[in-house]
Amino acid sequence: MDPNPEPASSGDENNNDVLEYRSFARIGFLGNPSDVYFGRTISFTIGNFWASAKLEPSDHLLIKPHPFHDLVRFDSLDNLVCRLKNEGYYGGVRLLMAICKVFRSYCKDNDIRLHDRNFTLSYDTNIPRQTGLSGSSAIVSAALSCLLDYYNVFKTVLLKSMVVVLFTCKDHMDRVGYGIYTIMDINLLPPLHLIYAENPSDSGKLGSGFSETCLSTVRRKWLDGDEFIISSMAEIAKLAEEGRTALLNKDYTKLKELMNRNFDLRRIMFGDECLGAMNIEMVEVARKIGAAAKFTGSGGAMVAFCPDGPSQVKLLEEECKKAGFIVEPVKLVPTRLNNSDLKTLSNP
Amino acid sequence: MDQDPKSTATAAIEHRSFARIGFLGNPSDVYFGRTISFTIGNFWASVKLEPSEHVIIKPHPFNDLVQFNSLDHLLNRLENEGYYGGVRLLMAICKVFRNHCKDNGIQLHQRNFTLSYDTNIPRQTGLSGSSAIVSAALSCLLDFYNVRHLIKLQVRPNLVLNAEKELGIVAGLQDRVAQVYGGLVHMDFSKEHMDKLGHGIYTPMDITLLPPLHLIYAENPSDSGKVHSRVRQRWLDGDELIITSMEEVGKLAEEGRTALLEKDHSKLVQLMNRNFDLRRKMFGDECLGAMNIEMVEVARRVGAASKFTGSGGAVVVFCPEGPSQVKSLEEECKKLGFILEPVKIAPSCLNDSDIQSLG
Repeated sequence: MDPNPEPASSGDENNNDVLEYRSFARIGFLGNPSDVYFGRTISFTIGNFWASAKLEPSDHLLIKPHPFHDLVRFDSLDNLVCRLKNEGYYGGVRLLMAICKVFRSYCKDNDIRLHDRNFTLSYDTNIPRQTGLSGSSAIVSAALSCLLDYYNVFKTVLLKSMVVVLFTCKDHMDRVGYGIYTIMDINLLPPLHLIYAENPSDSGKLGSGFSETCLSTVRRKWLDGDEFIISSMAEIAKLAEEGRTALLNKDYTKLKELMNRNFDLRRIMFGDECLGAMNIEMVEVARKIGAAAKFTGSGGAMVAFCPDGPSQVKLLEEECKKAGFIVEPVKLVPTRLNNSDLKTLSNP
Repeated sequence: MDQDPKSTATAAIEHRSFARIGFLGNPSDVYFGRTISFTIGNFWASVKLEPSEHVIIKPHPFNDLVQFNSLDHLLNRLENEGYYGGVRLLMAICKVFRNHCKDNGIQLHQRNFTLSYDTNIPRQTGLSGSSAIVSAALSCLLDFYNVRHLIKLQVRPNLVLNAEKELGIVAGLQDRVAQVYGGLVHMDFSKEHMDKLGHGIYTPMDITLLPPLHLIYAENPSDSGKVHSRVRQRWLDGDELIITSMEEVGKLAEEGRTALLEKDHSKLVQLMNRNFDLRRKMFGDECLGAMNIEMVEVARRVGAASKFTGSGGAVVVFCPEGPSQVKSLEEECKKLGFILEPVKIAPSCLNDSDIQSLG
C-alpha cells in the first residue's frame, strides 16, 4: 500500500527545475496482512519518517547511489560485516531502477508518449530499515512521483493513492487489478505511539531472509486450502471492517480489542519463531501496562494505543526505556487527495 | 592467475583473475564428480585495493548499472543483465573473509581500504565473470592483511564460493578452483575427499597439453536457459537417469586427463561432444536455451567438437582438422551473428607463498 508523496519543493513546467518528492512511512493499523489475501486493511502514513527522491535533468540517465544507504562506505571491516548482517546487501539503487523500468514498460504498453530528455535520480531516507514501516515502497513511491511529474503524465497514469481504507473483494481485484480505496478523516484516529528497537537485527534472530520464508509458508498454506489459515485471515480482514465502525463511533475500547486481536491472530498463524523474540517483547511491554499493541507491518516496529491517556503513555515510556526500546508519538500526515480524485482515476 | 602484488604497507595492491572454461566433466563438480578446467587470457577481472581512511567499496560506473543513455537503454540493460553488478560481490567476499579469519583465530590489523574493480568478461556467458571478481578481491585481501600463508590454497575456492552463496548464486567449486590456481587443473570432488577435507583434490597440469581451442559466444546473449532446471532435485531424489548420467560426465574428465597426456585428439573430440550430449539429455532443450544449442550445433556442422564452457552463454570448440576447419567455422559463425575467437590459455602463476600454503 503506498503512502501519498508530496512535492518537497514547488515544481512547475520549466524543465530546468529540480523535482523533489517525499513519501512518508506507513503504519498498518488494522487488517494487515489480509491485504494479500483479498481482505481489508486500514492504514495511515506518519510524519515521523519519510523517503525523498530528487530528479534533475542531465545529459545521461544516472541513478545515484546514496553514500550511506547504498552500502559502499564503512568504518571498518567489522562494521561492514555488521551492516550486511543487519541491512542486507541491497540499498535503494535497485528500487530506483526498478521503478524506472516499470514506469517505462507501463507507458510503452499503454501508448503513453514520453520525451527523450534524460535525468539524474537520487534519494534519501530516514525510515529505519527492517522495521516494517515500508521504507522500500516509500522510496519507490517518491521516485515514481518524480517521473510522473518530469514526463508530465500525472493525469494519464493511474496514480497510486494514499489509502486509508482498502476494501478489496476477490471479484474486484480479479476484474480490475486493484482494490477499492476509501479515504477517511485522520482526526478519527486516537493518539498512537510507535515502538521500535535501535538494533532490529536482534529481533527475529534470523533476519529478513527468514521472514520471507515465514510469509511464503503461510501463503502456501492459504493456497493449499488450509482451513485454519483461511479462516484466521478472514477474521483479520473483519477486524478492519469493525475497526472502521469503531473509528467512526470513536469506540476506543473496541479499537483496543481489535488491535490486540490482530496481533494475536498473526501470532497463532505465523508462530513465535517467525515473529521473533524481540518483536514479541515489544508487544508485551505495551500490553503489560494495559495498552493495545500490534505490528506496523511484518515486524520491527509496533503501533501502540494507550486508551487510558497520558499517564499510561508515561508508564509505556518507562517500560520501553527499561527494555531498551524507542517509543515516539505518531505524527499523522493528511492526504492531498480527496475521494473525487480517486473516483475519476479508478474509472475502469 | 595472480600477478606479483606490489604490496607494501602503503602501496595499492592489484590482482587479476581470468575467465575460465570448463573443459571436461562439468557440471559433475556439484555431484561429487571430476572436472578439468583452465583459465583463459582472453578475458579477466581485476580488483584494486588501496589503503584509505574508511572501508569503501567503489561501484563501477558502468557495471554497477548507474549510468545509461536513455530510459530505454536502462530498460534493456536491466532485462539483459539483471540488477546486480560487482559491488555486492566485493562486499560478500569481505564478509566471508572476515568471518573465516575470526573463526580460525587469524588476527587482522585495523587499517581500512578502498576496493574497486574492473572486468571485461562478457556477462551471462558462462565464463565465470562473478567468481573472477570475487577471487581477485580475495587475493587482494590476503596480501593486504598478509595472511596468504595462513589460508591454504585448497580452501580459497570455498571462500569464493561461500561469498557467492551469500548472494544466492548457486554453483559448484570447479570455476573457483580454476581461477584460484590458474592454468590447467584436474579436480577430483569425490565424496570421500569432500567429506574428509571439505574440498577436493586439485592437480595442476601442463597447459601445453591442450590443443588449440576456440570460443563461441553471442554479443547479445538471449534469454536462453531461463527455465529453472530440476536436475539437482532429481539427483537428490535418486533419479537413476540423472545419477548415472552425472557419473558418466565425471568419468569423461578422467578419460580426458589420459587423452590429454597421450595427445589423443580424436578421443578428446569424442569426450567433449559426449559431455554436451549428456548435459542436453539431463537438462533438456528448454533449460539449455535455443541460442546456446545453436552455438554448439554450428560447430558440430563443420565437424568440430563443442560443449558449453559453463552452464550456457558460451561454447568451447576444438577443430581437430586444423586451420581450414577453423575457417569454415568462422564463416558459419559470421552468418549466425556469433563471435568466434581463439582461446588464449592463461598459465598458472602461483607464487611462493601460495605454494608454501599447500603445506
